[in-house]
Amino acid sequence: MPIARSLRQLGAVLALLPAVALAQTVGGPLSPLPPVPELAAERVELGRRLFNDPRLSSDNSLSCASCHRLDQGGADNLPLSPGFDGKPLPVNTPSVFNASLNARQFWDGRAQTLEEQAHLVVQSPAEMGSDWQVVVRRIADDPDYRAGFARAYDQGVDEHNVQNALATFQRTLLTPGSRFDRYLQGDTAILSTDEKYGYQRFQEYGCIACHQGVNIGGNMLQKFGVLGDYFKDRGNPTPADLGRFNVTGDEEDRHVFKVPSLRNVAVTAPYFHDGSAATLEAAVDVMFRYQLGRTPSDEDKALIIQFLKTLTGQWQGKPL
Amino acid sequence: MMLTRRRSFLLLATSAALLASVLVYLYLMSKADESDTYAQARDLIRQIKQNDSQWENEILKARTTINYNYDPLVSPLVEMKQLWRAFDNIEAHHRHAATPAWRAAYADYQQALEDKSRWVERFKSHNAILRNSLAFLPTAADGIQVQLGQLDATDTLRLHSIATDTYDLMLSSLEFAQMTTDDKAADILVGLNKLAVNKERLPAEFHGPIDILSNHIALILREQPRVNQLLEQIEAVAVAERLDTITQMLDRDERAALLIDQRYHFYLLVFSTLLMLLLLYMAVCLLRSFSEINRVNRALMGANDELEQRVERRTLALTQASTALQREIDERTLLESQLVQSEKLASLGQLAAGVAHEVNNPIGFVSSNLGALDDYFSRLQDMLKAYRQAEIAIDPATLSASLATLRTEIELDYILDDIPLLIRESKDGISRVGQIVKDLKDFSRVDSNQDWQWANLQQGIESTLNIVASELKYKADLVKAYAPLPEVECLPSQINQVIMNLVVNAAQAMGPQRGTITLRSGCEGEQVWIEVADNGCGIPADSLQKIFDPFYTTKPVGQGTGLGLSLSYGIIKRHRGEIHVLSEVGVGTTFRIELPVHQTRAA
Ligand SMILES: Nc1ncnc2c1ncn2[C@@H]1O[C@H](COP(=O)(O)OP(=O)(O)OP(=O)(O)O)[C@@H](O)[C@H]1O
Ligand SMILES: [Mg+2]
Repeated sequence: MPIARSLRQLGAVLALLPAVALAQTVGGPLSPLPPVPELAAERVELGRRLFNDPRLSSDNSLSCASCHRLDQGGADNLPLSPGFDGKPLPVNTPSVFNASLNARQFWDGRAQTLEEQAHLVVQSPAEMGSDWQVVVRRIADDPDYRAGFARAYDQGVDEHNVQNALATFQRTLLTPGSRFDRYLQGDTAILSTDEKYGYQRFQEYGCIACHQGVNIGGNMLQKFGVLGDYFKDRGNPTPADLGRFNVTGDEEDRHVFKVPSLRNVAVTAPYFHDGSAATLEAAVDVMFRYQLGRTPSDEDKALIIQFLKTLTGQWQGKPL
Repeated sequence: MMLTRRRSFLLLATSAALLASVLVYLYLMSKADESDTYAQARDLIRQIKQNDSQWENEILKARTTINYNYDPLVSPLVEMKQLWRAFDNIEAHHRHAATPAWRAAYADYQQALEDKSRWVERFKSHNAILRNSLAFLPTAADGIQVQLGQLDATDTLRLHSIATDTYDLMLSSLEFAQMTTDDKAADILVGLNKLAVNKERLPAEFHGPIDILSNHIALILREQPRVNQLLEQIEAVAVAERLDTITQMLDRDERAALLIDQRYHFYLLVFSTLLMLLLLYMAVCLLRSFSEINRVNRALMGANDELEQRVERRTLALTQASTALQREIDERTLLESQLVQSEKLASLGQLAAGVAHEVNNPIGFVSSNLGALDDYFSRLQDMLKAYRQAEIAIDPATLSASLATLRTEIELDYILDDIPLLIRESKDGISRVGQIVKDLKDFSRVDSNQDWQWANLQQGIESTLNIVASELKYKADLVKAYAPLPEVECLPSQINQVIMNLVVNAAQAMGPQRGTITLRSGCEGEQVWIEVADNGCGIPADSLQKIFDPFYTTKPVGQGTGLGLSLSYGIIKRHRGEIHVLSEVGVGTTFRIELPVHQTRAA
């Protein structure tokens, strides 16, 4: 079929034209994690203690670590974690690991910094249910904290410094050393052939269109259900399903969520904002169906899942 | 005293503080060399602009790259926000934010950035899926093509047309991505419809892939215009222009600040000059007060010394009291002896006056008698001459001879010669006695009281000289060199006493050789002067200051009392005059008295 072949070639050329014009950046759309930043040790330590301190919640029942369990991939294994009052939260708990590398925080991306995130979580009526005056007073009443803050900050204990301490600690919560990062860093033998194929499929199917960058996601908002109505198919719509619409009120932001990072994805089930996908397979299926609008072969899917498992990094020298 | 000192100290302190603060203020104002911060601010804005254009570059890349890393689309915004915070911090310095123009510029920039980041955020989402679908399109079409090829060629023509349609659609879609026009969109819609129709004509296994293809094409149809629109929107957001505006405002403000700065520099210069002058003035004051302190210190030391001295003096006082007593006694004695002396003189004068008065009468008739005698005798002579001539004629010769003998015996010729001589001498003598008496009277002035009167000093001098003439006679010659003197208001007898004393002293100063005493007088304006000079022994220098002391004498006991000059000094002083002495041993001595013509006596 000469015509067909020639047309095909033309199409390929047309599709590649822009790519040729501006060559792909070296290293591709994914990049390894940066090293854990060296931050003021006293602030990190204060943040670590605050992170584990239930006094941040109104009834002293919840700490950050209650949901963001560092021994469970920086999240918990529940679809929806309970708030301070025991009622399930509207969205699934995302991992705190590598959160500092996300362009935005929360599923709906309503916070741009970790400080803002801490601020909102503490006074959210569903999560910590507290308010900052109370929190700051409780912390200031603790002589240890007082001394620590006096050392670490000029102004001692105040709302801003408490949030900063928490954020500072979280900025150290990176999980470098994943097998994929080491592959990116040049240790090409560390991935099996299947895993490498998995990475290739990941690119070919276009997962990488959204899950890219240093955090393999986290730097973009995307509509959940680009090529299919996920929510109609799932049923039981909740206000949280509106996603970013709840923040901007813009129709265009309906069902728009932050693209989550795929780092440590293998150990942070369940998946999605509603925690509806219990397994990686289920999650990959949903992604293919509603985001990519394609049906992968079982083999490709398996390869991709294998690849995703290479994204699990290390924390404190141990794999997550 | 204490209060004013404290107040002046307070005043000094406040004014010093005031001056210092003015200086510091001016220094800070002029020092507030903001060109640094302006440069920083401008640099930050430039960096923000750089990030902005980098951002736009990345957007351009993102719209043409299939598998794109969106991190570079996030980082410029983060960077820009950070830079803006730094800029804001610097600007807080300039306190611009307060002015409406700056607030507007800030708000415009923030709004532009917010708009742009919102559009970029959307662009990321839409572009990602658009690129993905575009990349997938050839594969999707290929898949259908391959499947078509595997079909049994029952209706090759139809299959061929389906294949062509599919490719057409794919190509239109790819073209649409390059040239998004409504025509192309319509073409694609037609193509999609055709594909839907074709799908129905194909076996069920084709339905899935065709659906997938048309879904992706529909996505492209939907997303490409959206992406284009977003790009236009992004392009329309004038972040760079807003930044340029801010840069321009910075430039303008900097120029203004520079002007103000220069002005403060000038103020500072003027102020420091003034301050320097003040300092100089204060230094002078300080020096002055130092000398004042020194003076006070000296005074204090003096006072201390004085205290000691006072103790000494107190102890001295007693001895002094006794000395004073002694002196008083001495003075009394002196006064007494002076009194005695003047009494003596007075009584001498009185006596002389009495004698003169008594002698005057006999002198009067003796001299008139002598006159008569002289006249008588000359007449008698004539008679005797006649007798003599007649004698020749007288006979007897014996008579004439006896007469001649008698005449010879009695030495008549000699007598006749001598008598007029005697008479003349007697006349002389008596006139001299008269003169002496007159002089005595003049000297003692018995005829007048001891009252101030206008007197001819010359006359007094002459009388005095006559009185002492005998004493002078064998010792010295008198030389007189008088200039005419006016009448002088004085106590004449006392002045005479002075003259006499000086002349007598001069005479007494003569050695065995005869000397000369020169009397001079003269008048200079309201002053008259009299000098008594001798060429006697002179007075040694160490005795000069003692000669006016009472009882100082070098003369043997009985001759001198040592009161002469002391009295004279007192008299001259009473006349408000001066008495000086000029003497050289072996050459002579000159006494000079000066007297005012008028006595302007207060009382
Ligand atoms: N013209 C003179 N030449 C030399 N010595 C003189 C002369 N006039 C005064 N003196 C000295 O001054 C002394 C004091 O003189 P002053 O007339 O007071 O006393 P005096 O002549 O000694 O005694 P008197 O009381 O009789 O005058 C004299 O003893 C003599 O030594
Ligand atoms: Mg004498």
